Amino acid sequence: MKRIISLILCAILLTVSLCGCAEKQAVNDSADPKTPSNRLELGERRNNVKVTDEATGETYYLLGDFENYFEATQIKYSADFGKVDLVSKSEQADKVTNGEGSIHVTISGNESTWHKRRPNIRFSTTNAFFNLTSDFSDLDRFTLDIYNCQDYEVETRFLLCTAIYDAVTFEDRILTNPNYEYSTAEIYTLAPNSWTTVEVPAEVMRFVNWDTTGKAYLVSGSDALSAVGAFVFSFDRGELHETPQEFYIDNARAYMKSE
Amino acid sequence: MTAKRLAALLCVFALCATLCSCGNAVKTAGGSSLTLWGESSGVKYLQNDGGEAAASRAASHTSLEVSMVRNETEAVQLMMYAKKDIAEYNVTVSDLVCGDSIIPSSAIQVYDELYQQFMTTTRPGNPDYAGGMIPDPLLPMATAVEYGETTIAKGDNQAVLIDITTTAGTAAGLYSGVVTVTADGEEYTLPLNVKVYDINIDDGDELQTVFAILDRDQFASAELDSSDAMAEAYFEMLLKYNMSCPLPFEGNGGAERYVELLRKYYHYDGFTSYRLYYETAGSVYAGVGTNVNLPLMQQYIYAIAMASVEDRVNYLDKAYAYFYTDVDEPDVEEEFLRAKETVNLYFQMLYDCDEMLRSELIGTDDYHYYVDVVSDTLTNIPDVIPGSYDINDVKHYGLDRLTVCPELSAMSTPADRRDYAQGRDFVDLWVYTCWGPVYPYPGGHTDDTQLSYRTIPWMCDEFNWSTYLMWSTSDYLWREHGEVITDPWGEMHTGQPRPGDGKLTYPGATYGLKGPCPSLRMVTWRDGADDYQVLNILRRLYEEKGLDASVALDAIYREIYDVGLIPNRDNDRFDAARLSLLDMIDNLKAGTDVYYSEVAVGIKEATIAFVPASSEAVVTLDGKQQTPDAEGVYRFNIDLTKQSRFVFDLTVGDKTQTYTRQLINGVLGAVESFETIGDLADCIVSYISDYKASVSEDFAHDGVKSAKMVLNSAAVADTVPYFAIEKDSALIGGSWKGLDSLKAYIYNPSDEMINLSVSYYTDEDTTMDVFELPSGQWTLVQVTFPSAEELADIDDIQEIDFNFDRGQSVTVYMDSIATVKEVAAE
Repeated sequence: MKRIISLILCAILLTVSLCGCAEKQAVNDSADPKTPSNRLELGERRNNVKVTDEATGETYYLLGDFENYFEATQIKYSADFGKVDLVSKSEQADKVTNGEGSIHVTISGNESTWHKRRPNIRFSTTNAFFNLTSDFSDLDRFTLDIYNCQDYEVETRFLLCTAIYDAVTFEDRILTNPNYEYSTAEIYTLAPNSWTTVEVPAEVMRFVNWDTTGKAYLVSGSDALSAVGAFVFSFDRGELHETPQEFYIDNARAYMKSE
Repeated sequence: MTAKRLAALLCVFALCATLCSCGNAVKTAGGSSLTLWGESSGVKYLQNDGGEAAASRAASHTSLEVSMVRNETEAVQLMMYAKKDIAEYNVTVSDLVCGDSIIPSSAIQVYDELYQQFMTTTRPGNPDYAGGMIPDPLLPMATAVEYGETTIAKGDNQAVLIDITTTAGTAAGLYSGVVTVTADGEEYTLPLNVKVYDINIDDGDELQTVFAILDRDQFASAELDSSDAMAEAYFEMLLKYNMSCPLPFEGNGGAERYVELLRKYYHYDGFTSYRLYYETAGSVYAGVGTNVNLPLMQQYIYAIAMASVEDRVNYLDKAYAYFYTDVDEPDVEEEFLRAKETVNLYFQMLYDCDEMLRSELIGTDDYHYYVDVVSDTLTNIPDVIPGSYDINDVKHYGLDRLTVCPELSAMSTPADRRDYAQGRDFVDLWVYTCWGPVYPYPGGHTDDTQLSYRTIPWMCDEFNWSTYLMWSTSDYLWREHGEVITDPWGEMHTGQPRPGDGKLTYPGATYGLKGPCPSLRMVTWRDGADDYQVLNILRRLYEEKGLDASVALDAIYREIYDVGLIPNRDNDRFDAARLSLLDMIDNLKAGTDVYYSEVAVGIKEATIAFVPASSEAVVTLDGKQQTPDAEGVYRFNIDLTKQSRFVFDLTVGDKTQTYTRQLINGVLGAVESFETIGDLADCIVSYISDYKASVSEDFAHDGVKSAKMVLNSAAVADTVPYFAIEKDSALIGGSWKGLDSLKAYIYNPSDEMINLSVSYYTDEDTTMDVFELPSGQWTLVQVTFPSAEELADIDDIQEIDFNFDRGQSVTVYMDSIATVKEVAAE
């Protein structure tokens, strides 16, 4: 009997332990500031890890959790994005939505220098750290938690990049060129001084392609998601505002459809 | 036990004994775990070389030796070889003392060298680096200790780089200090000696450099920061290594902010160029649509010109335009035509800007300064397009105003260099390295020989290339798809097809530092750029005498790289050549050297002429006092069949110094210049069926004729066209004994490159060397005879064969053939 009880206890402990892992992705990276934290060996990288949400049973890829310097540097901050500071839950509990860390960003940016590109944060599926499949045909939605530090509403724009289609580069050209009647950006409003979980359904994700005559057409739905390069959020350039805009960002998830 | 095993054991014993003795050769205090030795900054050893470097170097390099000038930073390396695992070490350097003068320890920076694993190398032909753990990143020693990077595994090397900085006020002299190593409780010391010459580096012009950070994306993800402050940290650090980048500016604040930055940095050491800011929103200029916003660019140039007038500083003289997002490395007609349109519009914009400024300033006090100083600069701000395009395309498409910037290897022959320079005297010639070239040419790749990058500034000096360009310095993105590199400290160099290309710095954020960390390649570049300034000091001294320093420098250049731009890989030889330059300047300033006015090396004879720096100097040759001509010039003719160098004594006051000018390597033996058909018969034969040899006036390297060889191997399928120099020919006289090499000049009259393989024939062919003979020029072909280890009896060689591509018909001319005797025979 004792043996059976022991086995049950072990099973419970194991389950609890696994659930804990599922709730919060375990990263073998020390928080010790004296450890050069992006010098991990290849084997320690978290490749292709799908997480199960304990509460809902949904599965998702965690593409940005910003738990430490190493994780934060695996995200591409583009078009003069600005300054990124790591935030810890122990110091600013209300500025972290998942795990122990998030980032605080101060946006710079100048679209004129950047070929009409807005400052953007790019959650890539193809870098060596995540090494995910680029096939997101089964994507349900992409979510990102953004805290708008301004006391006014701010817009952010979601864009889908494929391996060969850089939506950020084409975003405004498509809008302004009369030959292209499509926009590929989904615009979301961030409420002032609060967190917004931006939720982008897979159905609205799209990009533009061109046929042999040069005519543009939209690719959307699972067709658009079979070769994802990155999920991107862009922001206003810094110089448009008297003081640079600031945000906290955390918890980028790509939720997959139930199997 | 077999004899083989016994031999192997003896070898191991010998190696151990050597390593032990290496340790004992160094003055240590209580330590036996490390073998220490000193190296200049021009070498790098694999971390895991099996103790080879320690065994060969430690016993003879028991101190750290540096030679430098005033107001310079120069590096030296401390090498450590671990005889057991080392858990922690630290390195400190004392003040350096010379009498009452001191170089304080605060002027000395110590860096730990980190190593990167190379699975493959871009330089498979390079015997120095076949792959392995190669040093490159430099981490401040205190940070390395703090982050636990200071460990050494048993049997590994660990290098430490020590940067020493002098000021303009540092007194010349020999400074001494001590390098102290603590390792797992043991302490070691090594002497550090620094000779400071009485030469101020600022007396020489800086080499103009164009190093870039194309955009802040390149470093932003690794640093988590693309702010102006971070951009300035990168910019300022790169300046310290003589790497001038575009100003840290992204358009915010407009022309006013841009001018503010220019005013701040214009006088910084190392700030030698800046790319004019431009935006790509597209615009119309002079009725022509262009991808570049030229009206906005004009506003910036206008603002800079006005600041120049206001400050009486010509800020535009370091400016250049490079529309890399519009046209880069043109290759096809469409790109050349677009380049032409952009270049023409750009210069029209400059002229229009000049007119605007003249109108604005006329009648003011500033007008004359503008017209006299700024205007000409403004209308000639270079527009550069790098690329290995043919110079004939530049002429064909009328790109007269374009500043040409070929890849270094595109100018590897004298004819190439002449082609790029000819007829474009009004436009500077730049040079760049990037993805290419690769070994054996120099460049900024991580897996190249450490000395390699240092040689480029020397080439810039010799060939009058005004500017060196490197497309990026701090690109922590994968070049293929622009995504972030997971670990820039390791991965960016090991996984790239051209490791280190565009990636010279390392992100400091990894180690909690604000701003980038440097690399070994940056150090070697900096020291090379400093050499360029020293070369310029010598040039100025010669110019003051109305002479060209190239005459003196030719011999030094050839110690550093050959005429084909292949660097010498022997660091000791480089160090000796550099010291001879420093000594030459020092002695000229002291009046105890000579200014060479002519050194002409012919096929059999050389002429040498010089003027002593001091009018009171006495020149003695073989114990006899010499007499100069009426203009004070000493002139001598030297028979190169009797001597390979010229040696004389120079006495100034009570001080006599012996000077040697090496003219050729080895003494000439037999010489032939093919002036008669008899000369030809004495020398060359061929046994292919369709062969015709004659003495021709078509071309001549020496005299008025040369030997013309027409080899038609196509007539007999699958044969190799060749001709030969036989041992029993009149030229050789039946024996090769005592000869070091055979050399000749061969002319290729065709429009195509001709491949040549030179071999010796015993009872089989053995290749001695291969050559490419560029079209339309004479190429020196020199082959060295095999050593006694390679071939026991050199007279087993029946002939030296000159072989061309199989099945081809080839016509070449040969002239100035000579045997060169071993140096010992002199």
